[in-house]
Amino acid sequence: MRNFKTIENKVLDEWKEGIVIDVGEENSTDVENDDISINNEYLSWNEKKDEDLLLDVNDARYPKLLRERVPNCKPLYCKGNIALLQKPALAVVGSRHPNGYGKKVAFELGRRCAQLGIVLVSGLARGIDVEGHKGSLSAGGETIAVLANGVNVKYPKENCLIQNEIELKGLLTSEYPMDTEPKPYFFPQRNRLISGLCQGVVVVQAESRSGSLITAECAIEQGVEVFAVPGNIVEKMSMGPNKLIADGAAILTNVEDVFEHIREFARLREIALLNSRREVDKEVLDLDDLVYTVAKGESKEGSFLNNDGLREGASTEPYNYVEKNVLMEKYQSQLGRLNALERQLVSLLTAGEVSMDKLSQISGLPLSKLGGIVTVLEMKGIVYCQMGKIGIK
Amino acid sequence: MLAGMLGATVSGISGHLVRVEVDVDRGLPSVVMTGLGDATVKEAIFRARRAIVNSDFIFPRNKVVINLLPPWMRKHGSQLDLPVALSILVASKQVFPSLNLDEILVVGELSLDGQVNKCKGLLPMLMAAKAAQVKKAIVPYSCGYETDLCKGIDVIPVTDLRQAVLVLEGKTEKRECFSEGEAVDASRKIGRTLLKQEGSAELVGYENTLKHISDDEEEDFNQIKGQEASKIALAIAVAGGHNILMKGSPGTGKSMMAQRLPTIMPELTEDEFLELVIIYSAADKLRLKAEMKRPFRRPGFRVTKSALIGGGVPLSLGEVTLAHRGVLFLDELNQFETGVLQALREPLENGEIILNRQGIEYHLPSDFMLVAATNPCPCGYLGHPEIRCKCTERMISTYKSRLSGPLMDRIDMHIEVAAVDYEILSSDGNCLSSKDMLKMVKIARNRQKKRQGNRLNGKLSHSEVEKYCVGNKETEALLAEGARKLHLSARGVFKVRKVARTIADIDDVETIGAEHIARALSYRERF
Repeated sequence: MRNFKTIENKVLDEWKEGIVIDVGEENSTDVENDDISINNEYLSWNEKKDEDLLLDVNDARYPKLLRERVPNCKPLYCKGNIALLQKPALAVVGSRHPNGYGKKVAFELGRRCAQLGIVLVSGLARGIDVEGHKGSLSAGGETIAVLANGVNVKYPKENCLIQNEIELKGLLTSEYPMDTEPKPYFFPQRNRLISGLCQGVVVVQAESRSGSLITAECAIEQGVEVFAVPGNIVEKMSMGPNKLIADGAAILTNVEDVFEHIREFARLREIALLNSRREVDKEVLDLDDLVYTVAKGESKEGSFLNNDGLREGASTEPYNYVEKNVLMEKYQSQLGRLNALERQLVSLLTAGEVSMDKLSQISGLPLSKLGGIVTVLEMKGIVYCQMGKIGIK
Repeated sequence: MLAGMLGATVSGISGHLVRVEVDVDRGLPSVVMTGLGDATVKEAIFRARRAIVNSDFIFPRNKVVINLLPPWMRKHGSQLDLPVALSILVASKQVFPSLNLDEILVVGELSLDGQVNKCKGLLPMLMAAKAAQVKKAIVPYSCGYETDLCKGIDVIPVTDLRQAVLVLEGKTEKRECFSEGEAVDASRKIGRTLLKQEGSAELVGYENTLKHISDDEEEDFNQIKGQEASKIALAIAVAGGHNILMKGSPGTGKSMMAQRLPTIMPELTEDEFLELVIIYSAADKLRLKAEMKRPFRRPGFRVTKSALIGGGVPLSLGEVTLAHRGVLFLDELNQFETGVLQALREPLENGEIILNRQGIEYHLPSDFMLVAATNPCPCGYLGHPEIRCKCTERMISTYKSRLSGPLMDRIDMHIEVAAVDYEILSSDGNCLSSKDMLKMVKIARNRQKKRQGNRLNGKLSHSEVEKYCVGNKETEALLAEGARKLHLSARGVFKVRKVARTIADIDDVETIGAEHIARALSYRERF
C-alpha cells in the first residue's frame, strides 16, 4: 500500500489510454453492468505488471477454443506470455503419487512437446503434472499451468521454483482472483479448463477415483481427444488409464502416437522432420525392448543409455551420430558399463516392483551381495527404492 | 544422652551418607525430627517406636530430638528406620555398642514387629560408604547378590532389630549364608509369593498366564519370515551399536523384530553388569541374577519428558538410563511429543544425562542403542501395493516434519520394511535365526574390540572415523560418487563410513571394500 497513490494513478492512466484489455472493445458498457465485481477486482489490483493481465471472455486474445467449448467461461487471470493461449497444446494429467514409470512418460511427453513446438498444458500439481512441466522446460519449451488458485499464490509449495520458471518462460493462468487460496472444489472446475485449452489430453497414471479422470470426462464432453497410457494391471495407479482404454480412449503405445494422431500436431511433426537433416530417433519407451538390449549386452547398449543421455542433454536440435557417441562415452565414463550381474537384476525387475527378499529369492543372490548391487544401480539412475520395494525407473 | 550413627540415602544412582543424631534428654515426652527428611523418613519415628517396643525394649518417655546431617540435603526412603531406632536405643542407654559407630553403615527398613526389610539402592549406598572408608555395614538379610559386588566392606546381614543390637554389642558372629547370593534370591522369591497369596489371587493368576506364554515360546528371529533384508540390517545395527529407524506399513513385523533384539545382543561384561546392578538397584527394579540381561525398554508414545530422561524430586531414573547398555525401542516415533524427542539428543550425543538437584550434579549413564519404528504416513499405507493411503499431502508432510532435524542426524541407519508376500510367509524355507545373527554380531564386536577397545563403531568420533573407516582409492571414489548422485550431506557420508566399517567387521575383514560402502549406502536416510 506504500505506492498506492502512484499505482492508482498508473491504473487510471492506463484506463484512459485504453491499454487495459479486461473490458471488451465492442460492448464495454455491457461488461461494466454485467460484472462489476471484476472491475472492482481490477481496481483493487495494486501490483500490476505488464505481464499480469485479466483476460476478458470477449477479448481477442482470449483462447477461442475455451470460448467455444466451455459454456459459462469466466475471465482468465494471466501471468506470463499470453500468446501461448493460441498455440496448439497438449494436456498431460495424472496422479499426484506416480511411480518412476509414470514420471518418465510425463517427462518424455513434455520434452517431445517442446521439441515440436507444442504447448504443454497441465495443472502444476505434484507428480505427473509437474513432471510434464519439467520435461517441457528442460527442452526449452513453452508450457501453461492452469491453477486452481490465484496466480500470485504459490501452491503446492514444493513446486514454487517451477512456478516461477513457468511465469518467466511460459504462462500461469487461473479463473480465480490473484490472491485466492486453493479450495478443494476449485480443482474439478479447473480441470475443465485444462482440457478446454488443448487439442488432446493424455492421462498418464491415475487411481480409479482421480481428478485426472474428471479432466478426461470434461475432454470427452468438449470433444477433445483423450489418450491413456496403459499400465501394469496389478497396480492401483494403472486403474484409471486402463479403465479409460476399456471405455474407448485412444491407447498410447508410444510417445509418438499422440503426435501422429492429432492433425495439428502431425503437421508440426512433419515440419520438424523435414527441418532436421537426419530423422530424429524414435523414442522407444517400451521397457521390454530397452532391457532386451541391455541384457543382451549388444554394443547397441547405447540405445538405452542414450535415452537417458539425451534427456540430460535436452537439446531440441537433431543430433548426428558423432554427438550420440560422445554422449554415450560421457555416460559410460561416469558410471561404467553394467556388468553381467547388474544386467540380470535389471531383467528380473522388468516384471514390476519387488521387495529385497523376493529379489534375493528369484535371483538366487545372497542378500549381503544384493544390497550393494542395488545401491550401485540406484546410483546409476536405473532403479529406485521406495518403501522397501525396488523397481526400474 | 547423645548418640550418632551413619545411615544413607539414594538420589539418582548415587548414595549419600547421612549421619543420624539422636538426643534423649529430660522433658515432656515428645519426638522431633529435623534435617529435611521426606514423609517416609519422618514416619520412621512411628515405625521405630513400635519396633522398639515389640522387640522388648523401651521407647524413652523423654524429649527425643532426631537430626539428620547434612541438614541441607533432602533425604528419601525408609532405609533410615534402622539407624534411627538403633540411635534411640543407644541414646537412651539400653544398648552399649562395642563397635566404633563412625565406622559402620546401618541401612534397613523396619516392620512394626522389629523385622528388618530390604530397601532399594543398597549397592550405591555401600559404594558411598566404601568411598568414605567405612569398614562395616549392617544391611537387611533379604538384600540380594548386590552386596557381593562391593568388595572391601564387611557386610553383616541382620533379620530383625534384636539381631542388629547384638551385632552392635559385638555379641554375634557374622552369618555365612549371606554371601550365597542365589540362596537369598530364593528366599526373596518365597517372600514375594507369600505376599501375593495374601494379596490378590487374581493378580497371581494373571502373572502366571504371562509367565506361561513367555516360558512356552522362546523369542527367536527365525519366527520372522520374509524380512531377511531387515534382519541383516538389524544385525549390523547391533554389531556396531548404530541407532536405527525402521519405516514400514503396519503389520510388516517392525515391533516383532525389535522385541527380539535382546536375543542377538552379546552377554554383559563384568563391568557392564555392575553398572546395570547399580542402576536397577537404585530404581528398585533389581531382578534375579540370572534374569539380569541387556535391558530392552519400550516406553509408550505418551511418555513424558521426565519419565524418558529422568527427573523429579526425589530424582527418579528415566527410560534412557534404564536402557543403559541395552536397547531403547520407540515404536510409532512420530507420535511422541516433539519436546520429548528433542530431549533424546543429550543422551544420544553424550551417553549420559546431567541433572542438577540442590547444587549437586548427577550424571546418569544412558549409553543405549536407539531403535525406532514409524509408519510412512498417518494411516500407514503410503506406498503399500494393495491398500490405498487415505492421507492428504498436508497430513503426510506434517507427519514427516515431526521427525526432521537433529534427531534424524543421530540415527545412522534407515531401513524401509516392505510388506511380506504371503507365499514367503507360509513357506518353510530357511531363514536367519537369532543364533546366526548373534554369530555375526560377535565376529564384528571382536574386531572392534581389537581395533578400538570398548568403543563401538556407532560411537566413533570424527577423528576416529578418519582413522579407522577409510578404504582405498576405489572405495573412496565410489563413496564420493554416491554422495554426489544420492545427495548425501557431509554428516550423511560420515554415517555411511561408520556403517561400512561395521559391515566390513561382520565380513571379518580389516579393509573396507567397495561392496561394503555400497551396502552402507543402501541404509542412508531417504527423503
